[in-house]
Amino acid sequence: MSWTDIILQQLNIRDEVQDKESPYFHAFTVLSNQLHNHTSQSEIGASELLHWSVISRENHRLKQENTDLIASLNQSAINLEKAEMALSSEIKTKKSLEKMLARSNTKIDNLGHELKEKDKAIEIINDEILLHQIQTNVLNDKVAELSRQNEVLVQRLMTRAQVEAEKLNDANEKVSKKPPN
Amino acid sequence: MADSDIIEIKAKLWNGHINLRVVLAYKDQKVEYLCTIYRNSYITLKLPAIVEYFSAFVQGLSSKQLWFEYEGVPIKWNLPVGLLYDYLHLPSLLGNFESSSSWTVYLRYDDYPSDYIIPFIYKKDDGTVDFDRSLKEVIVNQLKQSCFVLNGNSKPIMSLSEANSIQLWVSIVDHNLSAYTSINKKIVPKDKAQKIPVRIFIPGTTTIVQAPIYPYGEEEPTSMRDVLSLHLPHLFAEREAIALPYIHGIDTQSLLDEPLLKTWEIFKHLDNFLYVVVIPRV
Repeated sequence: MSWTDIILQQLNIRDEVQDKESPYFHAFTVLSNQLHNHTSQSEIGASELLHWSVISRENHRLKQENTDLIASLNQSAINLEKAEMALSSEIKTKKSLEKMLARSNTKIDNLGHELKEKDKAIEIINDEILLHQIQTNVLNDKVAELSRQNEVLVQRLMTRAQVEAEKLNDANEKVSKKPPN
Repeated sequence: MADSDIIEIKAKLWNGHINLRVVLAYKDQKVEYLCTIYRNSYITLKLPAIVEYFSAFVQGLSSKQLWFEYEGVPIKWNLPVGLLYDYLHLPSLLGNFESSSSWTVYLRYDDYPSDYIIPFIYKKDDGTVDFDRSLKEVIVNQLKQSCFVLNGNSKPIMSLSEANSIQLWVSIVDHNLSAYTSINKKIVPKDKAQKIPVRIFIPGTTTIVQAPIYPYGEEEPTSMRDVLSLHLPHLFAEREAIALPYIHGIDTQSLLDEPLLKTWEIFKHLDNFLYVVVIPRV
């Protein structure tokens, strides 16, 4: 239970205790006013009585009107203070949101800069990839050419080996056909 | 803590009232006058109506120096009614809930106790006592005192226009919150009060602690507990208090550790003083 709840509870109890007897006190005030009017009326002549009665009634009405008006003004003042507090709270929230927005905008700016940097880095990497691809292609061509050359050389080596083998076979055959001395 | 709760508390403090029974000893009988009066108001404001009523019994009452008495104690008319009720009458009600909450005071018109209460020095042209003017003078002085404590000088109240000064007084008389708040805003500091005007009363004694309090301590805001334990250490020991602080007729021990400045803002009286009545636990 917050302190405001405790205080409100105690104020309610305080007012309840006082309000128990208030009707008697209010009634007394009304009656004493009436008594005052009656006494005043009895002190004046009959010719002025009607005039006095009208003035007295009007006076009472205006007093009541004034009391009601002040009560209404007091309530308006309380409502106004409530509205001012709500407004102040809204202004605080607005300021807080504006600060948050400013912070977010700064963050967005920073992220934008970071993004640009990263884009540049990506561009450089893409260029590098392209360069590497070109180099790969060139190297692949080179490998293909070397493979082809290697195949030709192997073919030539095989052909030469075959020719040499045939020559060696022929020579061996001639040696074997020649009669011993 | 919702702001709406604080407004609700302020409204209840503004509208709080007590039932007052004024008794006049007339010949061998006692004549009574009953009225309700706002706690945040002054008993003197009811005097014209009371005088009018009792004039039927005592001739020339309006020309006499009148004063109120409660159980033999002269009532200081320059203090708010609610404070007087809490200081003089409330202690007898605590723990005795069967008794009537209304406050019975005696109207006296002889032997004015000038040593205890301020006399009404002003008279109107017709020779009757000008209660209103005397009260106005005293309350304006109290407002100047509190203004000095709050701002470090009385400039805000001294520089009020005549129209504003009149409006402020009329708002106090009419109990008009809207008008009072709009003028009082010009007197109380907007941001930071230099010191807080506080008066502490102890029923049954003539002790009145009147101390301008710094709203902030070395580390934390000053609380009511700090003030009470400093000025009344025998009642508010560190471990357990043997007395309770009452403001506007309610036990405010729940506010003991809240910042005093906040308590002052909510619970201050018409003269911008915070009045605390310290009543021993029953």
